[in-house]
Amino acid sequence: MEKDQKQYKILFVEDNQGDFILVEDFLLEHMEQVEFVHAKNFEEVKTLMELPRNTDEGMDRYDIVLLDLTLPDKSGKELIDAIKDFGIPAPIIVLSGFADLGFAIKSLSLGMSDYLIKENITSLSLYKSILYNLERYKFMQTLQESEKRYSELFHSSPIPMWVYDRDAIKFLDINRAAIEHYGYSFEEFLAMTIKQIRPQEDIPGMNSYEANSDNNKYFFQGVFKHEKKNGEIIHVDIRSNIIYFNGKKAEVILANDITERLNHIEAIEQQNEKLREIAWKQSHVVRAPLARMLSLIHLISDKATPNDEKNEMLDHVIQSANELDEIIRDIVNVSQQIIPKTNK
Amino acid sequence: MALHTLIVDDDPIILMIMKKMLERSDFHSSPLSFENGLLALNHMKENYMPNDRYVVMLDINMPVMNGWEFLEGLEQFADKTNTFVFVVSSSIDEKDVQKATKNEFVLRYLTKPVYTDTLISLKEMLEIKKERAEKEAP
Repeated sequence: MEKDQKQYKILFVEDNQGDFILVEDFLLEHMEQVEFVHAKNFEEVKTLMELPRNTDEGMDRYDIVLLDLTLPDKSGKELIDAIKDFGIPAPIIVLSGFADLGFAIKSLSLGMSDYLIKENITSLSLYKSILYNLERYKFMQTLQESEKRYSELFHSSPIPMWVYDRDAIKFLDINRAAIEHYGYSFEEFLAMTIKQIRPQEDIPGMNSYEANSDNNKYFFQGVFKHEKKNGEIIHVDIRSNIIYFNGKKAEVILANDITERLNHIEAIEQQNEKLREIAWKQSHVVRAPLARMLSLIHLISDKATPNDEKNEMLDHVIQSANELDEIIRDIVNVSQQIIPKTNK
Repeated sequence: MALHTLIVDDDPIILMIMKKMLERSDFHSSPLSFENGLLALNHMKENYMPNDRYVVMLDINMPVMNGWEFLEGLEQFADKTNTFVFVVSSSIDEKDVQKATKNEFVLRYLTKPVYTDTLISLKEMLEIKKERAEKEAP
């Protein structure tokens, strides 16, 4: 088996010189370039951890920590807790002289990466454990970063979002945009159910929606009315997805406020209504006095029409012309109503 | 077999003009004027003779009873072989034209203003219809 050519820096916490040499030999069998920093007791570890993190022996420099569980100044759970508190960014492998399965499991739950019994260690098993734990540690880091990224995505989304418990319908998490948009603080939200952001009159219908909602349906979309803390009613386009949040069946909601968009559509519909009114007037009302004037002029120009009748007809022409003028003014009026208001 | 001509329009000036035009074009010497559909319909119901002929110059937009309602009322008692309607409207709305021409009583949709020339040709059209009807009759 070829030797591992990678560079390793190992913090080795061990008070027993014999064990230290043994483990060192085991590792050198498989690793070409390994550098040990040896701490013989907890105090020495503490001194190292108090160095600036990125100096030669600072905590950021270690690829792995090997920790003997019985040191003269600290041991067992107390030692694990104290080491954990330093927050060393590397996997920690416990080396113990005792084959205590209960405590082995406990130390893993306390954040240790592995628990090895000294007398069972072989050169290969130790090397394998180091490699395995390094990989796992890297993977966990990536996972945590990705979770952090998603959480940031949620919290920095410009569109209000929240997560609520499907059973208790209580808010579980709320992003900044939702807090700003709805006016409730994070703590206020956490004390509320999702019914509290709905207008009073919509709540009865909401219960029936819940009764009908299919538990297996993972995606939902719809438009709802919501009420802000200040009582303002908004129209929101809701998109939701089922997720598991800290082990609970929850729903993540994206609430896009479309009130303005709806108002805009309504304004356009009103404009269309005015335009229809104008069109109707053009074809029905405007032509009436005009047609009358044309008929009158036709009769006036007819030689058969007596003069006194002609004079009477001229009066009618003037009357019709005035009527037409008024209708046109009226249409201009309506047209001005549909010109979009510039200062809102 | 008398010919009755009715003018139905809510505009008194149009009634006056149309009356003069009908007289001058020899369409009819004494057309009757009505200010809305209901007055015209009541008059026809009361005086309707199956062997007489009726021509109605009908406006569409009128108060009390408009032209469309008048046409519906006509169906109750009048016959399309002796009752002829010319819709006379200032509307140039295509929807109005289509609706009018679908009606069995309506011979033609006329857009105001209607001149004497048009009335003369309508008179000829009615005479041809009359001759045909007489030939076909047993």
